[in-house]
Amino acid sequence: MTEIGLIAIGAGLAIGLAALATGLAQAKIGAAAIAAILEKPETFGTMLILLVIPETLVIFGFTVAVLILFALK
Amino acid sequence: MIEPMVKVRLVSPRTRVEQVTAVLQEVGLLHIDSTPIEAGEIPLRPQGMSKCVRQRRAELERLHEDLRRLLLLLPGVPSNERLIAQSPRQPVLTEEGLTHLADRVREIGRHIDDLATKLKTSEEELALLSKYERALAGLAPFLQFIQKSEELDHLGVTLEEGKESRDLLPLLRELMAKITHNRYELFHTSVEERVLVVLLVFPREYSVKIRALLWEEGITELRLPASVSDKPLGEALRMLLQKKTELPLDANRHRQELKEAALRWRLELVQYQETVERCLDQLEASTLFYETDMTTFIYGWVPCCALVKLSLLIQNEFDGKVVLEESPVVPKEWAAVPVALRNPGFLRPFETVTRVVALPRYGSIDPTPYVALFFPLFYGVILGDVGYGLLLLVAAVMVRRRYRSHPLVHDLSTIFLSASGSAILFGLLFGELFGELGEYVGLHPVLNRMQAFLPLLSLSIGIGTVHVVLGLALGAYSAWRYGNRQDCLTKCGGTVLVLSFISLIASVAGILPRDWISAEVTGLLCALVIIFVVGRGSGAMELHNLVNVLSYLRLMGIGVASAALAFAANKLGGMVGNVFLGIVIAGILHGINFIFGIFSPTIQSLRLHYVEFFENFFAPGGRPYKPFRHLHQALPVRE
Repeated sequence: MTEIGLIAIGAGLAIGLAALATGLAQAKIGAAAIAAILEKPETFGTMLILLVIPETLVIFGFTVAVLILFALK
Repeated sequence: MIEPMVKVRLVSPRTRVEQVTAVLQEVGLLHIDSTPIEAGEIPLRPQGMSKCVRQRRAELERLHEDLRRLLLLLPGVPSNERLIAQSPRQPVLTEEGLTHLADRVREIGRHIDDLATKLKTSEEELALLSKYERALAGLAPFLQFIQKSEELDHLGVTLEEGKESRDLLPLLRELMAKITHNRYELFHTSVEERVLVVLLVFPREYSVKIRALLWEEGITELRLPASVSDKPLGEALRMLLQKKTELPLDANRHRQELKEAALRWRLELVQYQETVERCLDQLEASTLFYETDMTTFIYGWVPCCALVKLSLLIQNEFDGKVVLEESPVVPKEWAAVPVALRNPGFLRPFETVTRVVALPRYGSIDPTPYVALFFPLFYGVILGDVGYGLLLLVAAVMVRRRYRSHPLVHDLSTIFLSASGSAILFGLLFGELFGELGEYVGLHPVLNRMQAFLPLLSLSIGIGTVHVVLGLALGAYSAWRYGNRQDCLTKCGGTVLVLSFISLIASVAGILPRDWISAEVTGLLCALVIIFVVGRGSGAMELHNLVNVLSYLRLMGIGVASAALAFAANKLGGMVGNVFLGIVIAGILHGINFIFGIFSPTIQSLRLHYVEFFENFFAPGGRPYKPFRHLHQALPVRE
């Protein structure tokens, strides 16, 4: 396998695994948030914040992927 | 900004308290509070509600309910009738006035009730007639015969299909045969798809038994209008058929009479309703007052800018017999002070974004102006396309025009207007018009998002640093205002930490001069010392700001994803080979990307504000400023 192929696999794993982790976290938070908003609609703002917190993971994954592809090449 | 408030105390003779309450309600400036500051100095007691006042309230509530019912009976609700009905000054409702008002409402109510009952009866008869018309026509010849017979009795029943009606008919036949020894007749016809009307004819001696049987089996007798319900079925149906032509005319006449009644009395009733509601509000408010044997004390909060107006009004109205005293708000009272946001008109829509989380506490910082600056900026960096920006602009203008009277939608459309402007500007910077189509119309990218990843990464980190540092600076200022020196120093340490860490990275990467590295390391160490020595355990939380800065990389990440989708849409459209089909495919894909382009940048921009920015200074939990005023009055502070 060529070096560029390994780099591409590395970048893919970086963003793919991070996205998977974000999805798992958001699934649990989202379900709980919906239940909480139904009980108390005024908690919408807080729930939105809690829901989007794990997205940082995928952003970091994306950044690492970009660095692998363009900076470390 | 948060409207500065002043604490006030109104001292009034007990004999004048009703007039004072009415004036306060009319002015609509005082947020009444029940916080007597001199509880130990003056023997104050809560005014509460005496038995007499409770009775008055019950009477008013009954009257209010009557008025509501009468207004529901009258047709036509002009949207501005509440405003028309408002008189400039509502006098205090005396006992005699209340009795007179109740009598008048009763008198009008009798007329309206009478008209409404007549209309209801006509409409009911009409509805029944139209429902059973076919059945009546079918049964009419038999009814004529039955009516003349003295030995036979008859009964009409309805059978609803669905679960068991088809089974009920044989069952009915079987039971009738058993009870009457086959001396019965049964005629049936369907009136609707699922409803059968059945006429049973049988000797009069079995009447009681058959009626009991039907009741036991849950079979409903044919329901007749009240006007003919006491008549035998045959006669009742004949009367209804005779009335067939009269009923619509009757109903129309009663409707017209009700319309005339509405023209005559509706406005008067709305005025009474306003008066009664005002009186009820006044009674509720008076439970928050305090009193001695001779004096009533009212405590509350007024916006500083409205104090002079209220003071002058009280002075003019009561000629010095009621006194308004003000005292400044001290920091230890901040938790109790109600909060009203006051921003210039162009910033006001962004208050909606702040309120989604919570109202800031009094004495803290209102983030609205910063949201108004950074939200469109973030949105523009993420969407960054002239074409999508223009589409958003058109959509925002259309929504703004369509929902002019809906405040929330109007505010949101204003926010999106500014966001679309920012998206167009960044679109020019990135040279994007529905992706790379900008090149064909002469747009030259200053920063190509599909190639210049590292400059974009630096730009995102740069914006993040500014935003987080601003949040920390505001946090330090807020802590200093609250007198929390330790927190203030920790926030300052956090600011130095973020600045020196990011500039250190920039120096290592060659963006900033390498000579600065030693100064940056020194700054970093100093910041860590301040954070851990001054802030102790909680100071460690400031390290989180370094991660927060990296979170702004989403500006680049989501933006590049959006640009890549637009690029893909054009590419797929171009691969079809047919120009028309290519345009359709590209258009659909751009449409999908545009919808993503509305939601994704909004959510990401909100997140960057709520999580990364607000956490350094925002103090939620403010009590909303609710001045004592009638529900339909406009809020005077905004005026």
